[in-house]
Amino acid sequence: MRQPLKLVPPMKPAMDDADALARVARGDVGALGEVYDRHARSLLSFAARAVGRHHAEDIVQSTFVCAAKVASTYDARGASARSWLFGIAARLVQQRRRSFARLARALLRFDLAASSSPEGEARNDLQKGLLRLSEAKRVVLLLAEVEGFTCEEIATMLEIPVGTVWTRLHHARREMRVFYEETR
Amino acid sequence: MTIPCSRSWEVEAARDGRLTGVASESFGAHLSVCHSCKQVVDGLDSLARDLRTVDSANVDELSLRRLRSRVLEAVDAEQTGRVRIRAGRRGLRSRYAALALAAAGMGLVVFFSSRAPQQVAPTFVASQSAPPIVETRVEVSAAEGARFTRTIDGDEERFALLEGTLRLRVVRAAGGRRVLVTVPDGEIEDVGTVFDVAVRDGHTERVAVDEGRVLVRIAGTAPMTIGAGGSWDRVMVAELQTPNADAGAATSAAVSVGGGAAAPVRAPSHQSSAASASPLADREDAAYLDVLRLLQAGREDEARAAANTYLREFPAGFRRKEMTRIVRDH
Repeated sequence: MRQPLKLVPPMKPAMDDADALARVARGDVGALGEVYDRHARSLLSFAARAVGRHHAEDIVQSTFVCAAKVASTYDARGASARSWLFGIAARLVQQRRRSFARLARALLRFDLAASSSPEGEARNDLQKGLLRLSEAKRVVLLLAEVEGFTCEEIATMLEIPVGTVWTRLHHARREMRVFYEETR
Repeated sequence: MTIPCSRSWEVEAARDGRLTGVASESFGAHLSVCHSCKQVVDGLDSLARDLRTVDSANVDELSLRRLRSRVLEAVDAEQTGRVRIRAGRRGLRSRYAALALAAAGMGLVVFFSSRAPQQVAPTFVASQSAPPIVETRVEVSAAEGARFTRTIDGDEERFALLEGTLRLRVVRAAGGRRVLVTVPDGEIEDVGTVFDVAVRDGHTERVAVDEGRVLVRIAGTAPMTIGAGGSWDRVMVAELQTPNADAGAATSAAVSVGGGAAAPVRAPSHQSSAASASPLADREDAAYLDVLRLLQAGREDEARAAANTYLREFPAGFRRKEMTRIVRDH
């Protein structure tokens, strides 16, 4: 059975995150640096898998800027800071992808999409397969299978029912399996 | 060929936490004997493993540190903006009072300017408690005791630095006005950046660039462009110009002048962006990464010592501020 993966263990106790976010809410930008140091690497990896390396830094930057704005809403009794930050990043990925999809459709009319599509960034088959998934499915798949979040945690982060997470995950795995069979 | 098991749907259910209690135990027992279900489990494990190896997700330390600076700057800018907006939402009474004061001030300016034969820019003397001066395009922070004037003339904003250190952050839209810092022995032209200038005893001592690039024209040296992370230091120039100095090293760098034509320069002790690929830059990167490794390993005393070594070896280094902070805070 899959065990929840903790690829990047927090360097300090969770209370430190809560304390740092409370200080961020009071306008202490340095405290955001502490939060960044603990979580940026895993967020950047997640974003790179989700949208490609080129756009990942924008996602992470927006995540922390957004986190600083809404730091006062973080409740340490609920989700961990890690899942709270991943929730922000995941939603930004989905928003970005929706914007990109609109742009890509517009560009297709001028036959320019090939050069600016995320497909162009795909470095291997697996990433191509990932990019073929809808953003909603891709985000859920990465959060569950790579970042090790439980379906309940993902549902909370994305503010969707847990049944929706199960469904998206099932379809994402099936599409990846089909992709594997096509390419091998 | 393996015949699909009727319970294979339970693999995902168990994996996603949908099976609990008896159902979970029952499936666990089934899994130990069912080859088909085991294959499904292996397939999902393999997918997860492969996803973790997507190569674009490799993150290097320097990218992380660069991004960190960008993040903190962006948040800082956001917060500064919010403070300004809040300040702008004060009551009508205070707005009227401000308008009346402004009108009175303008009256005084008109009165005195009509009497004065020539307009003289005020000289600022920074005190420790003086807040940074903030304008739409240029933010200026002056070190204690710095003396400078500031004038805006058409499409040019000019700071005349007489003594001390100024730090400027220039945000300029395309076509925005030029920003120049004149020093007793030359001038520095901003090209959209964040930089420090220090003057002592009538001579420019140091120009250090954090972001963007500047054009530096100092008497006795060829014009030079200094890029992000680079600096020009009078003391280092003097050391390199001594007869014992390594002439090859002193002439190895090339800097772009004006429109960007590269020109070899005698005594280029500045660390321009063009020189960033030098062995010195490599050594600096290595020293910096060493400090980070020690910090990540929780070896704070050693990290502090390594940061001290960095500051000693690279006094004009790109990460000097971060290293200073580590020495101070850890």
